[in-house]
Amino acid sequence: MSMVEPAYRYRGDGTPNVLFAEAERQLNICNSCRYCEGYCAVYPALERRTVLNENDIIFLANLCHDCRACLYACMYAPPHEFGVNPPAILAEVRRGTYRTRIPSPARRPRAARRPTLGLTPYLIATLSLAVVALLVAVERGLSSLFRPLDPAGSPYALISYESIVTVSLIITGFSMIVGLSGVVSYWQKARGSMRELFHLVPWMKALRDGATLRYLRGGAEGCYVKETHASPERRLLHYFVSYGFLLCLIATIAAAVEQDILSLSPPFGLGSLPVISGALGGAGLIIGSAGLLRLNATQQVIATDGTMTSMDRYFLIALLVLGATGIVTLVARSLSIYGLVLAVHLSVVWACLILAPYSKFVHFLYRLLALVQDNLERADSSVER
Amino acid sequence: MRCVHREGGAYNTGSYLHEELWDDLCRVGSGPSDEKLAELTVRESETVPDWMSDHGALWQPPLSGTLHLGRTNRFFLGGGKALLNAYYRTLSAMGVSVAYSSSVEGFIEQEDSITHLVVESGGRRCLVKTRAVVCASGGFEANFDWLARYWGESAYNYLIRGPVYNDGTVLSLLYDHGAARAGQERGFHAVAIDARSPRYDGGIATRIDAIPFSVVLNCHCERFYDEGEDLWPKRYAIWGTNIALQDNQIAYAIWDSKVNREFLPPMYGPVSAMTLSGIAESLGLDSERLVQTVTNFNAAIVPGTTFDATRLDGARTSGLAPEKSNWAQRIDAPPYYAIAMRPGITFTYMGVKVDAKARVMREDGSQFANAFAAGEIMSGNVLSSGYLAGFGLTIGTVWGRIAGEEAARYVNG
Ligand code: SF4
Ligand code: SF4
Repeated sequence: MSMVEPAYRYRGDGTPNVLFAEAERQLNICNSCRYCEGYCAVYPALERRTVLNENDIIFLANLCHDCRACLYACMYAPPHEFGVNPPAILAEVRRGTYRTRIPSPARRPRAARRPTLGLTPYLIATLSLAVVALLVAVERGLSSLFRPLDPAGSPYALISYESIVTVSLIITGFSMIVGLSGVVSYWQKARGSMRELFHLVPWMKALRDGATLRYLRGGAEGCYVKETHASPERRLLHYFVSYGFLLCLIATIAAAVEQDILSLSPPFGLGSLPVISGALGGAGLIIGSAGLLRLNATQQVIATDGTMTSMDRYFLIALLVLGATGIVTLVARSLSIYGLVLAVHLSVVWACLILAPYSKFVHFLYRLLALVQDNLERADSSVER
Repeated sequence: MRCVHREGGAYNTGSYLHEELWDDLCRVGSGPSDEKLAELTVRESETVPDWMSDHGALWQPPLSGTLHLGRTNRFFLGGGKALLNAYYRTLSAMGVSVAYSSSVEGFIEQEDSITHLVVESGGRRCLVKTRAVVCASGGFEANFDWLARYWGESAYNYLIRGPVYNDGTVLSLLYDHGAARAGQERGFHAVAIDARSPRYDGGIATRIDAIPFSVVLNCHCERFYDEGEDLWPKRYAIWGTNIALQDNQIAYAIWDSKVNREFLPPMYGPVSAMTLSGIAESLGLDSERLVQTVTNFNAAIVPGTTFDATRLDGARTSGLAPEKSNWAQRIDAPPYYAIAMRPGITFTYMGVKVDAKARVMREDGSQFANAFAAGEIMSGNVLSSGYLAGFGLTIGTVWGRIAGEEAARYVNG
């Protein structure tokens, strides 16, 4: 076998042109080969096209769930001179999708933007902590961080209900606007018609496939972390993370409902919905993100894009901290450090909320959109037939 | 792969019975080489898929890119490398050790038996004691000098679709030790592939599907074969040989913008130009002759038929030699496109003769006691020319299983 240096780069911050040209080159090889069409939705979607443009490539990249089955099945994978490596090149493209919507006053050209958020997350976390500390200081005095609160376990003994709700709503609103603007601009490029975004059937299929992580099955055996090893582990851990997160969300909503609609004020009893779902959710987040961090540390570098890996790491660490501080808050209710613990958890929550639309968090949005688009296309092509 | 099955199911759209596979086999090339062994292959094929599943193989339902073979053929999920990876995983779970990146360079024979192999591994040679040997080392298509014995100098212009390792080393060792031949020496499978493909290992992605929608010229700018003879899946396997028989072993497909979306674009992209002489220039062909041939072709098209890519549309020429009998349309809508093609050799048929236990036979009619053969190296016992899609995999698996079982039986006495 000739050992020509593959044209494909495994890492780096190549300009979009180089990146898309390379993705196109690899996908054209796949389209002539088609061995992988049983693995996932990417290959059938590719086969519906004979010519690829930039939006097609972005769509295929977001449809890819990164199970890596195709890489390890591929006879053209490195060291073959064709250097075909779909999970890595599609991750590199996908990373661009997650990055393009950072509203910045002077929009720098894409290539010049830093591949990761750099120090920003730390700054935001510090800022968030400062805001919490300021609110505590002004409203209850900093000393309340270090003595048991009255009533025990009530956040409002630390910061007033009004302040917590106001800040949370502002941040949530901001994040949702950023996130939604990304969604809208993605969809406009991908399909054009906004009306199609509201068709029910493609969404139902997309939600089902998304909720079950269908395409993290790698065909049948599961994802590949190493060439020799396919297992359902990654998908299971991902369930822990996503459903853990969902439970935390339910806990928050349930707390709001109990309080604002049923007029029950915190602290909620150990058997209450907010506490139970919060505890389970926090545990899920910890187990899932710690497991994925461990798994990702053992993955083969060739199978992915280095920057995406560090995005994943940031995101997982954030979720781990979120889950861990949440659980500590739950168990530390009656302790004297409860105030401090709560303050830390609250600042973590706020920081995560601000950062969410700029982080790997958004991946599920684009994957869902890609699944919806895929379902629309399938429907189109069956009509044509 | 192509196996007998009594009913359709998740992986086949309908039944495919023993008699039908046998009939299909009889229609291929010169038909079965050894009827007894060919019949055994067909019979054994029925139980092979389950055996494969038991050893880790995964399947996929018939999908679009499968040349309409969903009834007769079964497809592995992820293709051949995925299948082999699954087998290797099964082996390692069973505790079998595998020497990767190693080659057999010779063997020692005593009283009908191969007693030692000379193995090269990591730059070192060593002798490995053997009790039984299964030779499953493929054909000799990657050995240009060997091909040249039967094809002359032109062989050096062929491209090899598989890996460089199919150099026939073990096959020639067996011949040196008196093994009998099976299959025709010029028997091979070759398709038209992109002339820019690497010399080895370009695989499936370099094949060219433009031919039915094109005119195909040789290096003298002459047409030489009916491009529209039949549906492409039925004809694509003859074009390798068609091109191998042309001067310089090269041919050029030329089409225009009308049909450019009818087939998959070549992986390296076609040559394009706004004029036919521009095409001739990019291909390095004589512009006047090329334009003349295309003009003659355009003038010979029988009017009144409608082009339909999905069936034999009868849109043909009249008065040419050879005619184009389907999908003939004027080539007159720029931009024009073209691609240079060479024969890409998939596999060779000439191998060693075996008996029903897969034991390697000698010229004098005796057998090696402990040498067995499976796959391409013995496929000439079943077929010696022509091609039946997916049947090479059937031969490989059926005979791999026979050879393995017989070798184990021999060793265990
Ligand atoms: S990843 Fe490799 S084996 Fe799979 S379709 Fe692409 S080229 Fe073919
Ligand atoms: S990595 Fe998995 S999901 Fe992505 S293209 Fe390959 S097989 Fe499909």
